[in-house]
Amino acid sequence: MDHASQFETLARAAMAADAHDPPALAALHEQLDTIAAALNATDPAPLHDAVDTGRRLLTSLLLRETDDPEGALALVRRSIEEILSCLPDRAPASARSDEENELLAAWVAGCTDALSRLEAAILATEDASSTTAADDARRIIHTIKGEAGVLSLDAVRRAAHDLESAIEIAESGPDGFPAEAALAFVDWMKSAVEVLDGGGSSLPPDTSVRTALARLQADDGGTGDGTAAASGKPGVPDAGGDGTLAEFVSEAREHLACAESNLLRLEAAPDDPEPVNAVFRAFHTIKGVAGFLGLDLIVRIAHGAETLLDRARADRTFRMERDALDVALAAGDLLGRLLDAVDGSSVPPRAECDALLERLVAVLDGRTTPPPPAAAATAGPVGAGSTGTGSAGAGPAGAGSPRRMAEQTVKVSTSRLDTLLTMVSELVIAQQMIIHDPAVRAIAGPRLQSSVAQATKIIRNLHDLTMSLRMVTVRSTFQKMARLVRDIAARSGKQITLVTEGEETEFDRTVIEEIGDPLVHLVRNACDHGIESPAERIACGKAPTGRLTLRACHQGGSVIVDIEDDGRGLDRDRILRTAIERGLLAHEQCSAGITDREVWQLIFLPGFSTAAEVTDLSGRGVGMDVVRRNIERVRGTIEIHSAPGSGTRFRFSLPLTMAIIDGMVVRVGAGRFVLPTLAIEQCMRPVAARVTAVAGRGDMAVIRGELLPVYRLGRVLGLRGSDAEPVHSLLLVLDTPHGRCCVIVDEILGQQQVVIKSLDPSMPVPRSIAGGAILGDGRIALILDPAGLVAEAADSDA
Amino acid sequence: MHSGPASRSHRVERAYPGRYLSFHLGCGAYGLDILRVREIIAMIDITPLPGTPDFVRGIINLRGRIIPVVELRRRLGIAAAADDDQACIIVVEREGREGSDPRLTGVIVDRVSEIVDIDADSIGPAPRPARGTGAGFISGVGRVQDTVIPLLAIDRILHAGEVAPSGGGAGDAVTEAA
Repeated sequence: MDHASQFETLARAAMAADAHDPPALAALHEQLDTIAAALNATDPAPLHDAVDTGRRLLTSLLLRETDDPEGALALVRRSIEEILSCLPDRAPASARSDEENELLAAWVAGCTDALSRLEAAILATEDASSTTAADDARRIIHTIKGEAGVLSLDAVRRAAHDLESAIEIAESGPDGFPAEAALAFVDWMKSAVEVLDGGGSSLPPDTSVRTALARLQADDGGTGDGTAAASGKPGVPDAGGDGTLAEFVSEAREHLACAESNLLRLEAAPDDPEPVNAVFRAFHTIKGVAGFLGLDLIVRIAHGAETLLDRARADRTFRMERDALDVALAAGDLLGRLLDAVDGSSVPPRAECDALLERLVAVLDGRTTPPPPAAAATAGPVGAGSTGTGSAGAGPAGAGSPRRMAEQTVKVSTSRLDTLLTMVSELVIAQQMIIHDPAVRAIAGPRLQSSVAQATKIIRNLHDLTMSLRMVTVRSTFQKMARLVRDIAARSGKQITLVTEGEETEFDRTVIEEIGDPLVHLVRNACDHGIESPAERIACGKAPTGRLTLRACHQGGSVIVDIEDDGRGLDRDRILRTAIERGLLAHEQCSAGITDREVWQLIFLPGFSTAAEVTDLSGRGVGMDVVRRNIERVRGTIEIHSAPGSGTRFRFSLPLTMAIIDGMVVRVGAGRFVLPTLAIEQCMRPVAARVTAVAGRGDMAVIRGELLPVYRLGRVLGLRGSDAEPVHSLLLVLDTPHGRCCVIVDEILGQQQVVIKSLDPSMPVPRSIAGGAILGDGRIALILDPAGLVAEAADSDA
Repeated sequence: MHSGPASRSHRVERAYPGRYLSFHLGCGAYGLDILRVREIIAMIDITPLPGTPDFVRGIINLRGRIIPVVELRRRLGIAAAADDDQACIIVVEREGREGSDPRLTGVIVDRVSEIVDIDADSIGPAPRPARGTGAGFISGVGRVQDTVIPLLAIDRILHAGEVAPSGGGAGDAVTEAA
């Protein structure tokens, strides 16, 4: 049966219905009848049940058999909700924007990892000695639930939620952690992730999870009723499909992403002709190819959007702002969803297409349209003029406008890149071994020497090139935030300007992947809770438009990412109060002077987040545990600065783990180590007079008038046989996020680019070691993390 | 005898019939599940890793991949001896996350000898260890011709996290020197 449009209207009608409005109720009843007639045996049992319940309730409502019409209607709404929730392919009702698709892709990628961690945690709960496993499992499930909610993956969210409740109940009982049910969830999630990864959107039925949960309830003496029997809908989509079609979908998505970012640019600078042209081209291309492929709906929407943009190009008085911009963005979103539907995995949202085309026409006619229910207030810069007041030129009619200077690119799977990198590293090492082989060295022919020199040069270039392939700029990550900020601003009626700095900063791909989620959390928090409403801001004497800054830069061998808002700042008292209520902090501790820094750290505590949600403690708790864990996973740190009334800044300092660095290779004792060159400020012979022992503080040196601690690398690392003759050793002045310091090494061996290779995560290495680098001779040198070094040296002093 | 499906419990490793790589350590022979052996390499330069338990000899470069190397003698509480030219590193695949590449760890042994088939009739449960050292490191014993060799519970052995560095490790050197 064709669920989509039917259920769309049904849901809307149910929301609008009034308990005292018989015609509306009758219409609703009729719709349910139609659905009931269309149902067949293959539809899940709960769907049948819900439809029947709805009809029964409506009948009694219509016949005025009930005393509490409002209550009855509420029940009707609930059963309709249930009907909707029974549909695995509910995608049309909650289809995804292009943006969300990217988020989804990122989530899918991260989910596999989360699931294996969850699995490990569940298995560990069976080990009585493990106390944290259950907490870990709960946290992962909670995260999955939250993320699924954001991504409108209702089935996942529901299953995770039910599982969470089940765990809570079971843990208070004698049986403890319900590993069976949790594992069923993991298995189901794995297959769901596989479907999503393949580009599909109809998730497999969660029968196994339901069964496991039902069994749990039955054990509990509860009502383990027939919910388990739900046989899901068919339809795992064929992920492969036609090559041309798949290509079109992926290209069209890129065009949409480009259109969207340009539309957002337009919002900031409505008079700039270039974004208009770019958006026009994007829609035009999509239309062309879709026409060729016979995708009519896409052609219609793309054509509509194109007409709008064409008007903006040709008509100087027509400006792309407010309504026009909203409609264009909505068209982009809708196209994204239509693309989802192309592979047949979901039903195209026809009704919405018509609605959107109507809005397009209205905007072109110069009428103001009622915005769709979702997007209420307009956000962004205040453009007072309505449509038709534009003064500046909208640019030349774009037929001959220059092509975008996009670099020609080829998409390559990351696993191939990694393989390439590994193989090139092996090549370098193999070549070094040949050169140093005594047999080869014995041949003194000049021809051989020049060939070897030539090969060395080529391999070096190849190596450098391959290394650079791993690096990506933070630009696209920041750009994703632009849409998030806009949506939140629109929803909450706030005015927020997003400023991004240092978009060109290059990060290792792995680091970028890890900071994506924390950024989303923090940006959402800053917009939702940090930045005040315009009225409130004016009352505080601030500009009505809030400002959110994302900044990235390299600093002293670390990568820094700032998320800074100029909102109300963290509420110290409320955090403290909540911490005490939650038993995370004793009263005495609190009354004793606790520093701001310590207070801010509280918000990262697991369990603090739920409290924040419940008490609405300026919201800063939500998901902070996740933020911290992600950052810690790449050995980064988070620093918070907050001042009441003037805003909050979160600063991630990410060590250059997993990245390529320019390194200084030094010798300490018999070992070789690499220090990030960027962290090295200066290098000098430690003249005896310069290093002095200060009572209680260890060795210190005066460098340019500043008293800095001196660490002997050999000692900090616990190496023997070094520092024999400090007079011959060298003093390096390091700049770290934790302040400047000096280290003493035995010798500098040279400078070279190295790739940081992570060490086995199960080895408990000290914080001062960021990883290993394979040097030219194939041997390993440990890479030191200056920040970790300082922290560790400070710890061992204490 | 345990002839059920080979479901690996996370707490106790139990030996199953199959092929084993036998190797020598001190004066005894041991067996290692051949399915866990990635390769055997000659001794190479090992970079020491500060702050790790003393049985971790360091890290090596295995064709561009950095993997830790464990000194099995120390781990099993056998008196240390200098490596001779028969000593080699067995690269073992460890239980990792499903789907991802298995984690690799090198294990230093005195010499490898042969691959043996141990069928269900020649395999027996691990004897209870007399002392604390090496508790749970043996997953069973296998009869090979006239001798009985202990079969190693390699995941347990390589699980470095749960073992605090015992005395004399690099960790102590810090305080010693300071």
